[in-house]
Amino acid sequence: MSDLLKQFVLDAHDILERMGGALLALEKRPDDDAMIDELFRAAHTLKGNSGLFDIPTFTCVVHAAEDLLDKVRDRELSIDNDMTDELLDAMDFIQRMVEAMERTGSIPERFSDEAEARIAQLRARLPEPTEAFVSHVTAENPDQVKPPEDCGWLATIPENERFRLFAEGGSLWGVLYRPEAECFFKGEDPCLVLRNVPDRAGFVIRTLEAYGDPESIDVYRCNLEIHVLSRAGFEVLREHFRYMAEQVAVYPIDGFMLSIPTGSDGCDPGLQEEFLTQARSALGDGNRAAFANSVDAMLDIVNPQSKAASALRWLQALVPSAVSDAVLEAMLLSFETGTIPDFAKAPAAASAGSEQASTDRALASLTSVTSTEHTDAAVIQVSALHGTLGFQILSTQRQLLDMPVAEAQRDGRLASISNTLRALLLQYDARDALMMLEEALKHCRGEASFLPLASCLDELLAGGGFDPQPQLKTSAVPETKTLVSQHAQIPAEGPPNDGDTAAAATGEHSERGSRTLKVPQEKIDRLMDLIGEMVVAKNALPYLAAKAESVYGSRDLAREIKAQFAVINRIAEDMQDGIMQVRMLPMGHIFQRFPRLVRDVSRQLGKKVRLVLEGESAEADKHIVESLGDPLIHILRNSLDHGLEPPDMRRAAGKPEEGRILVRASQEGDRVRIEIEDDGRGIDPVLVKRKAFEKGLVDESRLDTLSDTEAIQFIFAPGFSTAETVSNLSGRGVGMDVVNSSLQKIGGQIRLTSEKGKGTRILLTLPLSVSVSNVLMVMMAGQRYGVPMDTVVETVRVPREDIHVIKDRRVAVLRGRVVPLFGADQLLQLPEEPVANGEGEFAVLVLRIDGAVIGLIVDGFAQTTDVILKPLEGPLASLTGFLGSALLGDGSVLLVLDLKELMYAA
Amino acid sequence: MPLKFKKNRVQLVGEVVVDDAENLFVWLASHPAAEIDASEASHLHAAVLQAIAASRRSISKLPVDPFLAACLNQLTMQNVDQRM
Repeated sequence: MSDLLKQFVLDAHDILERMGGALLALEKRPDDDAMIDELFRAAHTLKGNSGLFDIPTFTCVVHAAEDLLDKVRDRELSIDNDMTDELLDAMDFIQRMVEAMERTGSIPERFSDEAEARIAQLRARLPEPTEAFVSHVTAENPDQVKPPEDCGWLATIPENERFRLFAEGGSLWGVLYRPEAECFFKGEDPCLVLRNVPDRAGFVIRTLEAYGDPESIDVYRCNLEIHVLSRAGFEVLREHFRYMAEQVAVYPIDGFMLSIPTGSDGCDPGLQEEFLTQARSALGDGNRAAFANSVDAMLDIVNPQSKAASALRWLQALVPSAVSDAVLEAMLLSFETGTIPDFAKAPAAASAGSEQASTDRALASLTSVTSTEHTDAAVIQVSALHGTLGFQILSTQRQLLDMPVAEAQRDGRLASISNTLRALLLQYDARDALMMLEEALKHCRGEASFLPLASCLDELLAGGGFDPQPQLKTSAVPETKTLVSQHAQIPAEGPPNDGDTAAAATGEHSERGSRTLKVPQEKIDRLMDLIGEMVVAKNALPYLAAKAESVYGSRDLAREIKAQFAVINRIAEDMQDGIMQVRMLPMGHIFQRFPRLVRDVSRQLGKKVRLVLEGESAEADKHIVESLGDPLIHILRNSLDHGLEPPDMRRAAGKPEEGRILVRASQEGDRVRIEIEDDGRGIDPVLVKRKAFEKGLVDESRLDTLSDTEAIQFIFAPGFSTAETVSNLSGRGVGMDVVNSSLQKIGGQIRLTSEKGKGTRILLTLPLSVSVSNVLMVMMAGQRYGVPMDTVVETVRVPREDIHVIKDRRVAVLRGRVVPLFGADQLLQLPEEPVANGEGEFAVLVLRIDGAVIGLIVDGFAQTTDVILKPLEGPLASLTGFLGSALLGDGSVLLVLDLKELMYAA
Repeated sequence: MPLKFKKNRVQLVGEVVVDDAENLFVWLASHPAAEIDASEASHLHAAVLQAIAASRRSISKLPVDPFLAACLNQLTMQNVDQRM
C-alpha cells in the first residue's frame, strides 16, 4: 500500500469519526450552524482526498452525502432523525469501504451495487434536481466565482489559434477557475484539472498577486487564476469541475468574442482617420460589401505585425459571419483606441445568429447575467486595468507602503508613490479614486504616516477581491466605484463578508502554527521497545558497580559508576516518559463511539437514555485506551439492555422516564479510573447468590457469609455468564468474565457495586502504560520472584507468635483486620518453608487481589525494579501462576507471579 | 526523485508532485543563477508551477509536453515581466 493511501485511510477514519460525532450533536441541536459547517467540511475534505485515488465508487457516495449536507447547510433541507439514520448508515458503508481499501488497497467490486443504492437513497432526499442545480449555480454563495466581465484573457491565446477556433464555429465555453488558496491542502492540483478539461481549446494560467519579497512567499498558497476555452458542453464542464464548483464560473463565449486585436501599437493617424470615416459610413448604410472593401484596402497598407492589422484581420473574418453591426462597431472602436473591444452591448443582438444549443444557453444565461450587466462605456477604457499592468502597479505600490523606510526617506517615498498613483489613475480617468487619493495624501502628510494612503489603496484593491489585508470596508467604497467596479468580479453582487475573511485568515494562520505529525504506530512502538531495553540495560550498572567493588576492590570506580548510573537513569526515565507521552491518547478517542452506540441501541430497545460523558481529556497509553474500547462497549450495552428499564417501568418505579448513563474518566496517580454508572434496576444479590450456588461456584457454608457486594462479584466468574442465567437475572453478566479477563490482560481491575432498584456502578482502574511494569522482588527458597507493584499494599514483618492458625489456615491481625496468610511454599509448591529472620519475624507481603487483602509469607524483600514483561512462551506457556518473565540487568531471569491465579489455585 | 539538483542546474523529471514545490522553491532561492531544465517533466503540480513563477526564473529547457510548456511559458512570461 502506498504511503499516500495509508495517509488517506488514516485521515478517512478520523474524518468519519468526526462526522459521526457531528451528526449526533446535530440531532440534538439541529440549528447548530457551526456543526453543520463542520460536517459539510468533513465530507468535502473526504471527497477531495478520495479524488487522489481511482475510487469512483467511494467518491460518488461521499459526493452524494456532501450534496445532501450542502442542502442542509443552505437550509433547503432540515436534518431529522431519518436523515441522520441514513447518513449514519451511509457513513458506515463508507467506513466499510475504507476498511476494504486498508486491506486490499482498492474497493472490491461487490460494493458497487450497494453504493448505487445508497447514492440513489441519498439523492432521493435532495430537492427537485434541476431546481437544485440552478440554485446551486446562482446560489447566494458569496464565494462563488462569477464569470469575468470581459474576455480580455482571450487575447493571450495566439491569434492564429483563435482564428482557427472562430473558423471552426460551434459553441464555445469559457471557464474561469480560481482555485481557493488552500486547495493544495485538499489534494487538488489545478494544473491537472486544467490538463484534463474536456475538449480544451485554449487556456490562460496566471498568478493573481505579484510575488514580492521571497521571504514572505508561501508556495503552498494557491495564487493562480485559470481561464479555459472548451468545446465541451456546459453540463460536461460543470461535471468536470464538480468538486470545486464554487471556484469555477462557466459561461458561453460567442465566436466573435475571440476577435481581440493583438500586436504592436502604432498606425498612421491620418490613414486611420480616413479608414474609420469610410468604414463607419459603410456600416451606417448597411453596406457590408463596401465595409469589407475598405477593410481589405486598409489591411494592405498597415504593418501586419501591428494591433491595427490584427483588428482589421478580425474585421475581415467577422464581416461574412452573421454578427451584428454592434460587434463591428465595437471592433472599429477597438481599432481606433487600441483597447480590447467591448462586446458588452453586442451579445443580445448577436445571439440570434449564434449556433449554440438553446438549452445550454438557458442554463448558462443564469451564470452570465453579471457579464452583461456592465455596459457602461467608460468600462472599456479602464477594463485593460483588470488583472494586468495597472492593477499590478496598484498592488506593488501598496506593498511598497508596507516596507520599512528610514525617517529621512519617508517624504521621498510618499512623493514617488503618490506620483505613480496619480499618473495611473489619471491614465484610467478614475476621478473619484483620484479624489480619494488626494484626500488620503493630505492625511499622510499631516500624520507623517503611510497609513491613510495604505487604507485608501486597500479599499481600491479590495474591490477586485485581491484585498491584501482584510479590513472593514468604510462608506468610502461607493465613491470609488468607477475604479472598483472594474475589478469587481467576485464581490460585484455580494461584497464578501470581511469578518469571515479575517477569521479565515487567522484560522489558517494558527493552523500553520500548530503542526501535527502523524507517525505510524510501529515507529513509536519501536522507540518504546528500544527505551524498554535501555531501561533494562541501564539497570546493569548497579551490578557492575557492585562487582567493581567486590571483585576488583575499587571503591572509587564503583562510586563513579553509580554517579554515572544516576545520570543515565534520569535521562532514560525522562526519555521513557517522553515516549510514553507520545503514545498517550485521550479517553475521548473511545468515548466518541458511545453516543452512536447508545443512540442506536436505545432506539432499538425503545428506551430513553441520556448519556453523560466526562473526563474525555484524561489520557492513557494508546494500547490501553484502545483495548478499553470493546470492554466499555460491552458494559454500556449491558447497562442499556439489562440495567435501564423501559420508560413505563421507570415511571412506575418513580424515576424519570429518561435513564441516565454516566461514563467518567479520570486520572489518579499512575492509574486511570473509569466509572460507568447507570440509574437502572441494579443487581439483585439474592438471585446472584442462588445462581452461584446452583452453578457450584460457592458452597453452602460460604453462601451465608457472603456480603452482597462480594456476591455481586460472581457475575465476573467464568461460566457464570451463560445466556439464560444472565438475561433472566436482572442484568449484567453477558460476557462480563470476558470483560474482566480482557481488562486484566492490560493490568486493569474492575469493581462493581450495585444497589437493587437504584442502579449499578462499575469502576475500572487501569495503568497508564503497559510496556514497562514496576515489580517488587521478593526472595523465596533462595530464588527471586517478582510481584507487580500495583497489587502490593505494604510489606510488614510479623512475629511468629502473631500468626494464628484457624481451621488449617494461617491468619494475622493487621491494622485492625484479619488478613489470611499464605506461605510462598504453599502457593508455589516449594520444598522449603519460609524462614523467619533472627528475631523470629516473618516477612509478609500484603497484597490486594480482587478487592480482598491477603498476606504472602516470603523469605525476604529485595528492591523494586522496572522490567519489560514477556509472556512465557513455548512449552512453558501452559504453566499457570506466572504473568511472565523478565530479564534483569545482571542477566538473570525473573519470574513474575500472577498471584491471583495462584490464590485461586490454593 | 523527480527533482535532480546539480551544481547549477535543476532537472525536473517525470511527475513533479506537490511535496517537491517547497524544495524546488528553496533551492532556486539559494541558487539565483541556476538553470531550470524541465524537458523531461511529464506533469508539474500547480504548486510547482507557482514555485517557479515565484522565483521569477525563465526556463532553460521547456518541457516536451506541449501543455506543460504552455503553462510554464505563460507563468514565467507574466512573472519575469513584472520585475522589469
